[in-house]
Amino acid sequence: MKRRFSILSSIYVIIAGATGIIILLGFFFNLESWHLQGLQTILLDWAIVVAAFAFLLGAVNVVRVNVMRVRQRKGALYSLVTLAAMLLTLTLGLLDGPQSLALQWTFKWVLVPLQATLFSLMAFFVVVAAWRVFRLRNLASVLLLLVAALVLISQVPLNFPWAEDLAAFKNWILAVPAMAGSRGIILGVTLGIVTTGLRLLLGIDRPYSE
Amino acid sequence: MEALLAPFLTESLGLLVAFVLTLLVFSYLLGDNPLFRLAQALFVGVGIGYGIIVVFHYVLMRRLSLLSANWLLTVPPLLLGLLLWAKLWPAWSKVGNVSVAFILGAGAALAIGGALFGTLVPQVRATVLSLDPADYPATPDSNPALDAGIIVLGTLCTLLSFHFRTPAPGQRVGPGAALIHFAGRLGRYFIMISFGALFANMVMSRISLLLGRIDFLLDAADTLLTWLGLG
Amino acid sequence: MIYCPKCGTANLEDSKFCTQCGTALEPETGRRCPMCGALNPPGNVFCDECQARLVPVVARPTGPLEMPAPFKGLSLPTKPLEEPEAEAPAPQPEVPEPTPEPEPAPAPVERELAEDEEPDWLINLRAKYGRGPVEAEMEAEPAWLRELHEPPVEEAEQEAPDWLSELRRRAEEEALAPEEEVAEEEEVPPIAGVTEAVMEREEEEGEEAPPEWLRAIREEVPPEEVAPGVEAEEAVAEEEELPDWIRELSQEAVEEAEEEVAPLAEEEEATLPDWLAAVVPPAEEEEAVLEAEEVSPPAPPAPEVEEKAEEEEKITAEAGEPPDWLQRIAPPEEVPAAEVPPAEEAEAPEWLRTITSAAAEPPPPETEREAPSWLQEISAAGEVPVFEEAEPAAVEEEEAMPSWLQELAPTAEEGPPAVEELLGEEAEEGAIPSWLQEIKDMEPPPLEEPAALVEAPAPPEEAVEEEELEEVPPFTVGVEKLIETPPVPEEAVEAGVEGVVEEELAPPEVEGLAKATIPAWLMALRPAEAEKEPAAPGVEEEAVPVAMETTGLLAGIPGVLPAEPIIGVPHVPRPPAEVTVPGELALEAKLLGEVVAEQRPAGVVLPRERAQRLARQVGRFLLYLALITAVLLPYFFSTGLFDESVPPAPETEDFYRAIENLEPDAVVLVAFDYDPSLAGEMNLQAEALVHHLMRRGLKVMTLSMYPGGQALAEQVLLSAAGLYEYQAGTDYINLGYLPNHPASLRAFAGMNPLVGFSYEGTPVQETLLGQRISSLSDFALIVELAADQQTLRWWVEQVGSQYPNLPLVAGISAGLDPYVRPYYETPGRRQLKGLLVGLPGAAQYEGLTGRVGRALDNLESQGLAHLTIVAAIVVSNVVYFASRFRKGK
Repeated sequence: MKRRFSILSSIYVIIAGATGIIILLGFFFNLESWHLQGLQTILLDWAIVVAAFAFLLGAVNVVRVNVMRVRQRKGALYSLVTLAAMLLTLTLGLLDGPQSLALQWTFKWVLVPLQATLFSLMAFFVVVAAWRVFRLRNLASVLLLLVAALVLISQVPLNFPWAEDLAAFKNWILAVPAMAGSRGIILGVTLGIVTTGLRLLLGIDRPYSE
Repeated sequence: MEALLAPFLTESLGLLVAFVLTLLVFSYLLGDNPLFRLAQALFVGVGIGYGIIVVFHYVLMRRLSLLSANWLLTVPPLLLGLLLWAKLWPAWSKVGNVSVAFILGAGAALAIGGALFGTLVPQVRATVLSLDPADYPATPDSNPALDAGIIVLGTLCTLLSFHFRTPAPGQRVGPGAALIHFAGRLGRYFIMISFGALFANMVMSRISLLLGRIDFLLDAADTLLTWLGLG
Repeated sequence: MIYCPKCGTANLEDSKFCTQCGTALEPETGRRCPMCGALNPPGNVFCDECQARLVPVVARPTGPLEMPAPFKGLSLPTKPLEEPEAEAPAPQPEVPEPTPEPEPAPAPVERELAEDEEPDWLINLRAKYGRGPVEAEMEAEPAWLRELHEPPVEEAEQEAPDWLSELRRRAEEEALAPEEEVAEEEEVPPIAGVTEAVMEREEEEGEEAPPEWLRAIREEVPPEEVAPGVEAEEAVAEEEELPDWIRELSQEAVEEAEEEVAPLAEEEEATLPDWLAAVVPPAEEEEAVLEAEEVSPPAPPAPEVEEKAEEEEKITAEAGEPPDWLQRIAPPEEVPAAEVPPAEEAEAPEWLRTITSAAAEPPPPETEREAPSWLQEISAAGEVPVFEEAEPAAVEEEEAMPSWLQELAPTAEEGPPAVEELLGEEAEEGAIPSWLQEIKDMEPPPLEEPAALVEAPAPPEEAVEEEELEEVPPFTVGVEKLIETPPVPEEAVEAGVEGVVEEELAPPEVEGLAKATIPAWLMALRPAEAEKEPAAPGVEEEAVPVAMETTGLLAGIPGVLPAEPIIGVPHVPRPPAEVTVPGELALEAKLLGEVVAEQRPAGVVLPRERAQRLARQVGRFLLYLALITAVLLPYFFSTGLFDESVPPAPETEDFYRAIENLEPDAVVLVAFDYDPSLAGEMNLQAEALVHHLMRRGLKVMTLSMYPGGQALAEQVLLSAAGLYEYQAGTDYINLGYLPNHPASLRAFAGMNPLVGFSYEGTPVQETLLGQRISSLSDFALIVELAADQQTLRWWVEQVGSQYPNLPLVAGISAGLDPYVRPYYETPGRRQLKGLLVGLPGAAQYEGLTGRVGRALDNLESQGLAHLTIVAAIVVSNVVYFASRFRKGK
C-alpha cells in the first residue's frame, strides 16, 4: 500500500509515538529521575478523559442509529422505547445526580433485573448447544468432551466416596494441562499484542488516519 | 424532580417492576416475541443512559474539576475529546484523527508495557521449571517434576501449534519441520483440554446466573403473594 | 529463451508458463511469493515463509481441452459417436467421490506428433475440398450446438463424458481414410487443444516461436491474469491450509463460542487489543448492548452453526473436487472463496452461502479480450489454466447466472435468485461449463469464431494449398507443413511430449455422417444484424476471399471472419447484439429456469421439514424443562447428591488465607469489576468476601471499572455494613467509578496521594480512611472481582507489575478460569495469590469462613444443573451414534 508522504499523517504518528514512548518508558525506568513522571501522569489523565469521550461518542451513535430506525419505521416502536428510556434515565441522572434516589431505583429495579436476566438466558442456550454441537468426531473432540464432563461433574462435589479423588483429578487437570494450554494461548496473544502495539507506535500501522 | 418521584419509587413497586421485567425477558424461551423485544429495548435505553450519567459525572465532572486548577491541563483533553466527536460526521472525520492517534498511542504503550512486564516475563519465567524431582519437596500425592514437565511441554507445544500449518499434500517436509508439526498437533490437544475446561466453566457460570434469577423470582413471587394476601 | 524443464519447449524469456505443457517456468533467481513477498528458491512449490502456493495448480494437462488437434481454422474434427461409455479413468488427483455420471476421464494420451503424421481431420479436409461437395464430410454439428438442444445443465454431465470418451477413442485411432465421414457428435475440446497441437507442432517443425498471432494471444492473456490466478490459488491454498482444528473449533463452540471464543479469537488474532477496540467503539454500555443483542438471536446460532458446520464440510469436501467432467474443462481449483464465505458468514442463509461460493467459481471470460474469448479460454485452459481464477474474484453474484439463461430469457425475472440457487446447488460442479461460457461470449455473429478455424483449411489440395498460402492468414503458416505430412502410422503415436494431450491428431472419421446443420432455433437466435445472411446451410461455397463462410456448418454466413489477420487488429468487443428470442424459446427457457431453480416459495414448508422443525423445537423445550426442573428440585427436597462440606480447592484456600493473614485494621481494596450481567454469580463472591472482611475488622475500599459495578458495590457494602456496624468514610469507602481503560488503572496506581471522591461525593482525602492511604502501597491487599479477563489482566499488568509486593487475589467468574489460571500458577512469586472460581469457589469460601450465604444455598441446584448438562451431552451422543449405526446398517 503506497502512502503519499503527508505531513498530517506524520503528525499523527508523532503524537501517537511520543505519547506512547513516554508512557512506555515509565514501565522500564523510574521516570522521577527524568522529571517525566508528571508528564506521564498528565498524559494518562488526558487519555482517560478522551476515552470517556469515546464512550460518550458510542452512546451518541446508538442514539443516532435508533433515531434513524424510528425515521425509517424499521422496528420503530422498539427504537422509540430505547430512546425514551435513555432520555428518561438521562433526565433523572442529570437533574438529580447519580446518587439520586430515582436513578438508584432505576438501576436496582430496572437495569439490574433486565441485564441479569438477559444473561441468564445464556444458561438455556448453553444446554441446547451442549446437546446439538458436541459430537464425538475425532480425538480432539473426545478430549474436549471428556475434560468438560469431568470438570462439570466434579466442580460441585458429589457425595460419593470416589468424588474426592475425582475432584483432585479435576484440580490437577485445571492446574497442569489446561493451564499449560491456556498459558500457551496467553503467551501467543501477548506476543501479538506487543507486536501490534509496536507497529502502531512505530507508525507502521496507522489505524488512526484513514 | 427527586422529591416529586420519591414517594412513588418505593421498594415494593420496584420489586413488582423487576418481577415483571424478569418475566418479560424469560418469555424469550417461548420464542422471540414483542414483549421480549420491548424489554430488550428498554434495557438498551436505560443501560446507555445510566452509562452516560456515570461516565459524565464521575469522569468528566470530577476529574476535570481536579484538573481545573490549571486550565492548561484541563483544556487539551477536553479539546481532544470534542475533536473525537467529529468522527460522527464522515466529512469531518479526519479532524478526530488527532484524538484517536493520541489515545491509541497511549493505549498501545500501556498494552505493550503491561504485556511485557505483567504477562510475558512472569509467565515465561513460570514456565522455566525444573524437571528434576530433587528440586521439589516430596509430596505423597503428586509428582511435581512430572507436572512441571507437562507444563513445559504443553506450553511449548501450544505455542508451536499457532505457527504451523498443515503441509500441502506432496510437499516435502524436513525433519525439523516434521518435529514442529508434531509438536503443534500435540499442542492442539492441550488446547482442546483447556477448551474443555473453558466450556465446562462457562456452563457453570451461566447456570449460576440463572440460579440468581430464579432465586429472585421465587423470592419476589413469595413477597408479592404475601402482599396480595395469598401468601 | 527459457526452456521448459518438463517438456523442453523453448519459451520466451518473460514467459511464466510453458506454452506447451503449461508448467510454470521459474526465473533463475527464484520466485517471490505473492502473498508475503519472500524470495523463494526456484524449485519451491510453496512459499517457505507463509506456505502459500507459488506454482498455480495446473489443470491436468491430460484433459481433453488440451488436446492438440492442430488449430488451423479447420472445421471441428468429426468422428462417429459410438459408445458413450466410460474409459479408463485418467489419473485425476482431485477427483471427488463418485459423481453420478460415468467417469470416462480420458487418460492422458500423449502422442508425439511425429513429423510425418497427418491428422485425420486434415486428410479429411483435403479430401473434402478435393471432393467438392461439402456434404461429403460435413461435420456433425458441434457438441456445444447439440448440447444446446437439450437441457444443457442437467445433461451436460452426461454429455461431457460422451464427447470426452469420444476424444479418447479418437486419440487412439490412427490415420483414417480421407473418405471417412465425420462423426455426428462434435466436440468442443478439440478446439481447446488445438492451440496446443499447433504450438507443439510448430515447435517440432523447428519454429522458434509460435506463430505470432498465437503468441499475441498468449501475451494477451496478460500476466495480470496469471497473477490474480496465482493469488487466487494462493488464497485457496491459504484457505485450505487453515488448520482444520481451528475450523472444527469454530464448529464446536456455539454461542458460547460467540461470547467466549470470539473474544478469545480476537485475542488470538491480536489485531486490535480489546482496549483499542473499546476506544473506537466505546465501553461497557455499548458492549452490553451488543451482548444483549447477541442474546436475542441466540438459539438461531446454535442450529445454524451446526448447519454451517455441515455446509462447510460439504463445501470443503467439494472444494477442490469439481466433477471430473468439469475438471477437464476448467481448472480444478475452484474455490478460493467457497471456503471463506461459509466461514465468515456465520448466519447467512444457506442459499446465500452457496451463492457466494458459486459466485467464486464460474469465470466468465470477459469479452474484452483482444482475441476471441473462446480462443483465449482454450489457450488459457491449456497453458494458463489459472487465469480463469482471475475471474472469480471479480465475478459478481449477478454474473453467476448463466448468461445464456440471462440472454435467452430476459423475462425470467425470478430467474436470478432461482438460478443463483441453482448455481448454489451445483456450486461444487462449477456452475457454468466453459462451453456455455463460450456461447455466451460468442460475439455476433455467434458463429464467427469457429469460422476462424474453418477459414484456414481452405486450400484443399496440397498443391492448391501452397498456392493459396499467401492469401491465408499468417496463423495458418504451419498448416502447409501439417498438410504435407503423410499420415502417421499408429505405432508411431506414443506419449510424446509430456503433458500435452495429442488426442485429437487423428482426423475424424467421416463415415455415414449426417450433414451438419445449424438448427433452426439457433438460427432464429442470431442477432439482428446477422439476419440478413442467407440462412441456408450447406450452400455451395463461394470463393473464400469473400467474407462469406462457404464451408462447414457456417456456410452461407457472410462477414464471419475478415480475410486479414485477426491478430493485428485489436479485437474490439462488439456490444452484445439484440437477440430477439422466439416466443417458444423464451418460454422454454423460462420454464427451464424455474424447474432448475426449484425455489420453494417462502412459507411453504415441506412436511418433512416441518416435522423436523417441530421436533427441534420440542427438543429445545424439553431441554429447557430439564434444566429448570434440575434447578428447582432442591427447593422442594434435598437430593443428598452433593457434599455439603464442600472441600475447598487449593486456590480457594489460598484466597482465604490471604485474607486471614492480614492484620486487623489493614485496608483492603476491592475492585467490583463486573456489571449486573454477571452479578448473579459475582455477588455471591462479593457478599462472602465483604462479610469476611468486615468480620475480621478490615477496612474496605471499593471501586469499579464498570458503571454498574460501583452501584452494586454500594449495595453489597450497605447490606453488610449494617451487620457489622461499619461507618462509611471511617470503615469503608466506595471510590466509585474508574474509567474502563488501562490508563486509569495506571494513573490510579501512580496516584500519590490518593485523590478523588467517594461515591457520595466526599473528597477522599477528607475522610478518615482516605487519609490513611496515600498511595497504592498502603493497601494490604487488593481483591479483584473480575467478570472479564481483560480487566483482570489490567490489574495484574498495570498494578501488579508496579507493586510486586502488593498481594493481589482475585475472584473470577467461572468462565475466566482457564485463562486466568496461569497467573495463579506461577510458583515462587505468584501473580495472583489466591483465586475464587465461580459459584463453587464462593461456596467453598463460605464453607471456610463459616458463613452460609447464597452460594451454599444454591450449590445443590448448581450441581444438579451440571449433571443435567452432562447427561444431555451423553444422551445426544448416544442418540447420534445410534442413528448413525442404524443408518449404516
